[in-house]
Amino acid sequence: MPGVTGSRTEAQRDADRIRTLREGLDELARQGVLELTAEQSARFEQWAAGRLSELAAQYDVDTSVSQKRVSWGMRIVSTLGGIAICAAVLLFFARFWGYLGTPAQVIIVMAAPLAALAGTELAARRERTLYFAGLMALVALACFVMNLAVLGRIFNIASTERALAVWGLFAMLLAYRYGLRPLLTAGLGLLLSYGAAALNARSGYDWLDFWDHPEIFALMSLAVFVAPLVIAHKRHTDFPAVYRLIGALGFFIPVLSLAEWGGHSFLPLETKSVEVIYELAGLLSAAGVIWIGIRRQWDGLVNTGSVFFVIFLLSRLYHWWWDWMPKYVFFAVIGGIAILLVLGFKRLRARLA
Amino acid sequence: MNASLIAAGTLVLLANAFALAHGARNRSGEPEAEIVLTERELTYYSDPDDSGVALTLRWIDPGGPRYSTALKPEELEARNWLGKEKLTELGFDCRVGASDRDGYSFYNRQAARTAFVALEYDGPGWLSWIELNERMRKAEQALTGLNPPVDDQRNMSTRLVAVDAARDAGSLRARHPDRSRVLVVPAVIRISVSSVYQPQQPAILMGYIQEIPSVIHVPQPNSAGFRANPRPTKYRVRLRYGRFFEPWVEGVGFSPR
Repeated sequence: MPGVTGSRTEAQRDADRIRTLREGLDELARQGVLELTAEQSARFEQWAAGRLSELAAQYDVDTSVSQKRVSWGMRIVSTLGGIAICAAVLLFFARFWGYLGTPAQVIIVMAAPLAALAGTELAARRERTLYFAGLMALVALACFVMNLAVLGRIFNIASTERALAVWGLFAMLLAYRYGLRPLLTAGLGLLLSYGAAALNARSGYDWLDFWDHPEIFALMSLAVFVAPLVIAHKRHTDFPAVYRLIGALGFFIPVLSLAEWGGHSFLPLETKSVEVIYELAGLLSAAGVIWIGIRRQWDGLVNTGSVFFVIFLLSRLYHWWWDWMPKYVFFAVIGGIAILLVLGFKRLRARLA
Repeated sequence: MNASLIAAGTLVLLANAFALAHGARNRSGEPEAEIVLTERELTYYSDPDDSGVALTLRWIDPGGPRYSTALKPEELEARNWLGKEKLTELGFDCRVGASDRDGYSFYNRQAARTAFVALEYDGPGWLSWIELNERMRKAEQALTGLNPPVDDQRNMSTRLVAVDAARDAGSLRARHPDRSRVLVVPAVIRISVSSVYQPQQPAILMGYIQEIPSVIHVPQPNSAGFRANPRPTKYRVRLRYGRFFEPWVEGVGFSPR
């Protein structure tokens, strides 16, 4: 049964724990702190080897560090390969489609995503790691995008934001079917864009200018961020982290853009005032995100919050000091602040321990 | 088979069905407009990586700011067809004076709006624009004493000129009922403040057309003529616009070189 990435993630964590435990016991024995008897050691080795074999057989997990590195390489290569195949399919079609009549063009573009969907299912049933299924799913999404874009071009249909919703929904269905995080990322991005674009269009603006109102995007991203709290993910346990990442990025990037230029804000204030407000809001929310990440042990969120905290802080310091402060002093102060932050984090880490 | 897989496949089929139905409905009934345009209004650019043929609709927005001593500020104001009244009608907030201290930032913050624009073909709007262009050239020549580069706009430029705009296509068509000479097309319009005429002149509120869907696909067999001759010089295209204001090419005729 394909699409059990959630279980595979837990299985991989199991395998990592066993490997770490094995290495830890070896180290303790070397230091003379704890030494298992020969019988205990043999029983442990037998259990560990058996359990790792079982996990590898059932979920195809990596049982060593080298395997893990190779797996990461395979993931990167399969994603890049998927993108390259998508480009090849699209460019091949563009090169020859003009020689076909309209009925043939319509049939080909309609069949392409369905064929890719069938290919994805076939790949998923034959291979547990889902590398090829992930690649085919990307191709299926690209084919569906091409499908509607070409139909729109053939019939000169005015571009509409509804295509984003359809593409986003397609990506989400594939993501949940096969447990594919890249498809989930694409799906959430497309649906977020659709939400902002639809609101823009209903208000009488051009839907393509949805970035003219970053606050809509930021608010919708908050909804994505909290979605895992409402939607339980028992099967795909690694999906909530993606929701949080997309939600955080979708929130911080608009806030950053408003902090740089407040002209597109809904707030009825001077542009400069809006920029200051959003800069401070960005700093505070980044700090808040770091705090939530530490409390909930969401490492990815701590990293995201830290990156944007630094960006907002640097941005504020730049606006305050760059014009009048000697440049060497500016960078020396930045370095000093970085050292203070590191000391602060060290103290926080000690307290949490 | 998993419900998600079936749902994904069904989504593809439904989306295609909707798009095809939309295309069919657009072309059903009486066309909204039917017009014959030439290579001046519909330009073809061949692309070696794309075998599809598309024509680009070219049009003129006559209300843009002009830098010329031939123009008096009152005339420029009169030619500003997307002025305060029209922009208010289109839904823009025009309560702040263009010359006010906050005028520039107030209008710069307003996003572009969707509307419908009337493009008039080979009519008084185009003749007026040509006359203005020629007057500006003569003024430049008189000012500099130099002969400006040859500019044969009268024989080469597009003759489609934007002459009116409205939020509602029906009311726009009611004002311009000639369906063989005026196209009603969807557009995106942006508001701006212009103060380019003279330093003491008050700033003027003006709109400009940011975008009109301009790429028109040419299906087989009409596209064969363009592929056979990547640099066609003269051709006439019969264009129709449907109920959703989306065009299609009804026929193409090539003139010998």
